[in-house]
Amino acid sequence: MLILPILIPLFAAISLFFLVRSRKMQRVTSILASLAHFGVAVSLLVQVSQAGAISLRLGSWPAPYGIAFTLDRMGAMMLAVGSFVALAVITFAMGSLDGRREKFGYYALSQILLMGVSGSFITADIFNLFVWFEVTLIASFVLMSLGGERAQVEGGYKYVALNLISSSIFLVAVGLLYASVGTLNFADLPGRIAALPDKSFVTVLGMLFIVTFGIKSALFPLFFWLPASYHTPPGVVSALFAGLLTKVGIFAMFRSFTMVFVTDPGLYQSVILVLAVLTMVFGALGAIAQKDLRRLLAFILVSHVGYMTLGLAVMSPHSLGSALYYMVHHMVCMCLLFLCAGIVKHLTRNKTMHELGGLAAVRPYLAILFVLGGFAISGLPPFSGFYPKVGLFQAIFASEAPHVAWAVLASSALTILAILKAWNEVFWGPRPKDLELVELSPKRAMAMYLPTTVLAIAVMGSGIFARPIAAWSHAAADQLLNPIEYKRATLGGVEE
Amino acid sequence: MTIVLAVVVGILFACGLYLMMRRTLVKLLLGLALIGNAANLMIFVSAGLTRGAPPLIGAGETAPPKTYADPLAQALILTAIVIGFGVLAFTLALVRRTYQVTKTDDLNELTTTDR
Repeated sequence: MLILPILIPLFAAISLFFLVRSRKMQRVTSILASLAHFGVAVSLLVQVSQAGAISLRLGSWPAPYGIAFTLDRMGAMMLAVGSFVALAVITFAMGSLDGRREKFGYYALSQILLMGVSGSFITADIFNLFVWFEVTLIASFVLMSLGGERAQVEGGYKYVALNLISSSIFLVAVGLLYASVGTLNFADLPGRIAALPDKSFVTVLGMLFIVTFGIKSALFPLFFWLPASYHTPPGVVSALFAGLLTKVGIFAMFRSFTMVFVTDPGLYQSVILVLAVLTMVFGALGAIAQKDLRRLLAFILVSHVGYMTLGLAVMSPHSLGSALYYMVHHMVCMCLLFLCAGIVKHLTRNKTMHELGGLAAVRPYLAILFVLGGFAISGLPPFSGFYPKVGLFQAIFASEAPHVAWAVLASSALTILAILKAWNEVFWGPRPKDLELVELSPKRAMAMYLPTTVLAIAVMGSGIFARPIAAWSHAAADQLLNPIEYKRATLGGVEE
Repeated sequence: MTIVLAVVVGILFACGLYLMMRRTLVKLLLGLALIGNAANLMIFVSAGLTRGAPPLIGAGETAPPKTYADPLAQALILTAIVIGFGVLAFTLALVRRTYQVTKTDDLNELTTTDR
């Protein structure tokens, strides 16, 4: 059962490559595969809620020698939400994508991306995590440059270069970790590290991992590839990236800095804290200065990566739980905003924000969807961003660095300003005379608005019915801080 | 032998980073290739070099001999090499496409999306 989130996209991708001639068959296959993936993810969620953590050892090799997959509460939550987001984006693609990109493997590549992301959420082995990162990366490289427009290749090579450097650093760090402790299994690592007489080297490795995951998740000094590249591919692609990709980096950071690198927590915490605060502030400042709607959203995305890592830096059960909730909210909400931006781009044929205006009068429904996303990302009640932000505030005030709350406040205010700016320039005010809107056929409009609406409902719903999600996030955070269930599931009955 | 390889790893990293600081796309690509190889070689060295001791269990034994070459590190590099090769092939195609579309390989002129 646990292997299915990987196998379904894999087989879907393979059959999609064979179906490359028929657009209709491609669409049907990818929708069916995504539905199946979502179904499996939900049933795994149910299974985890009963068992705590479930594990699969490939080829029945006893852990820690073989490759193990373990799904805990955090993984199950991310898997389900990621699958949901992917389903929405793939539906959206049917309405918005041009025929050439559809034909040249968009669907197959997005399935491979989904496979890589699911693999990273499930794996219990740090080298295996590297492999899944690479699967995700290569799929995203191709998606990023699929179509080969000037902006795409320009954004693409920055994305590729930075991510390849991060992969190399990751590889070096994994190699040195293996050399110093002799295992790469998440459940086995903490014990082996604790048994080391001199742990200073592990601290150095932890810093290498901060750099690696910092590049992947777009932390402060390392985030510039993201706003340089995320706005260049078609709307569906950037929405898929916004929903899934950076979250994989943050997920890996949560996993490794709560379970593995706990030897020198004070140092890690202060480093991550400084990076998180700078990310929040610089991302939000960058957002205000942008001329392009999706570039603005990309900077907001970066800024909000800071909130999640801040939850990790404070490292209390409450802050981790809120950060996990925030991660779920962020995936859905950023995807919603990027899909709205995709529709805007589609309607107006890719104009900058200065050339737009007055869309609210002609496309009121789109304006409502955008506003819902904007309110949610600014953390206004009753939307999904409100609860985790309040939780994060409480956790920060209870921690040793309460003055950090000012940075959170400042960046929240800047986010609201940036969203207001986008709203003013795109939806409000008079409509420029030379702005002709593209008429969408009812079928295409349906395929684009339906997933966007579903995401908006999810953003509303998860804000109003916050209790079960919050309970799950806090249980997941407890599980991260006391990984007994994780270890028991992964290592099974192996004698030490 | 370990020292020699360690120095080689250092040189590869240095050359790779130097090439990445240059302004042409092709040098960026070469730099990435060198860094990838440096990382692979580093894993190879970090597991320790054992000469002439394959990790084989003799007939009638239940465990390998006391000293044996660690096969896992080599399995890791093998995976990493394959991945690196695939990614590099893609990057090569991307660089070619970038040159086709933009007619330049000067990185300073490839900044239109940053504005």
